[in-house]
Amino acid sequence: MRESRLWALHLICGAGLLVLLSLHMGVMHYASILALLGWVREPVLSFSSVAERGRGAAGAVTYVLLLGFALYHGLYGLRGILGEIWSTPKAVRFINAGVVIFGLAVLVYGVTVAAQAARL
Amino acid sequence: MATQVKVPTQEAVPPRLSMRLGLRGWVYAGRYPAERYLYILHRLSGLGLILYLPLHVWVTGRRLQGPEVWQQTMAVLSRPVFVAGEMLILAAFVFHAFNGFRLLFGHLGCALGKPAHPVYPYPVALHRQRSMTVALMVLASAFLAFGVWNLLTK
Ligand code: HEM
Repeated sequence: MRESRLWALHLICGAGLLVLLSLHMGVMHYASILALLGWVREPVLSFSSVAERGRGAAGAVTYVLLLGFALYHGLYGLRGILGEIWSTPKAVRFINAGVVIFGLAVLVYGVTVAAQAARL
Repeated sequence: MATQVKVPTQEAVPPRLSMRLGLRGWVYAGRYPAERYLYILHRLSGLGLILYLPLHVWVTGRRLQGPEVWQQTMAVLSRPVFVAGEMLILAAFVFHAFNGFRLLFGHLGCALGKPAHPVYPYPVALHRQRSMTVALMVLASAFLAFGVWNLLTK
């Protein structure tokens, strides 16, 4: 894919993260306000609350989307930074292969966890 | 007699001003504007978040092993060193999100002002955006302060 498209995807994932990650961090770190509004049930980190959030298709799909956005956005950014430091063609090929393999491995693990957690 | 103008060669340029500054250039290469320091923080916070992500996926995956394992994991994570780490991650997220919003906004061509003729003093898009930048950083600090308070009182 052309570099401009890869970069546009990096930004689109950034915008997606702004929504999904803010929701995720809101529930985890700003629970006291959200609880006042009746949107979350505290304590947010108890096993029952954690299991409830990941349960069902909607919970699993949301987590997988969040993970996919974060992995693509973050690893694309990391690739850019590493490419600035090591920019020989061989190093660039190595970095590209590294981020793709690493990203896919974490994604597969995350999808497996989300699928099993949906049935908790 | 015509005076001879000396054109500096790449070798003659002091190393810190040369084109390839390496890692040091991230931090200093002459008069950087405030936004350049935000860029460095954006980079550091992004790096911190991507390094943390796989660890986070692995730790939260432990819920599959049942309530006991989950409670043990949470007990370990409530040690001061991990709480301090959590605060750093929160700070990285809050800063990266607010500054990222500013960057996305700029990439979309918003809040940069209309193109103008290059008449001295030249209009600089960053200066036009300054008040928005300051407002976003104040908001980020407020969110961070509240998040830290929430973490310490939980
Ligand atoms: C909260 C939502 C987020 C927003 C709005 C956001 C936005 C951005 C933007 C606009 C850029 C610069 C893109 C450019 O100008 O080319 C960027 C870079 C980056 N982001 Fe994010 N991001 C978010 C979350 C994350 C997360 C969760 C991670 C890690 C998993 C991450 C890692 C990075 C990295 C490593 C860079 C590259 C920094 C550099 O090249 O200096 N970001 N982000």
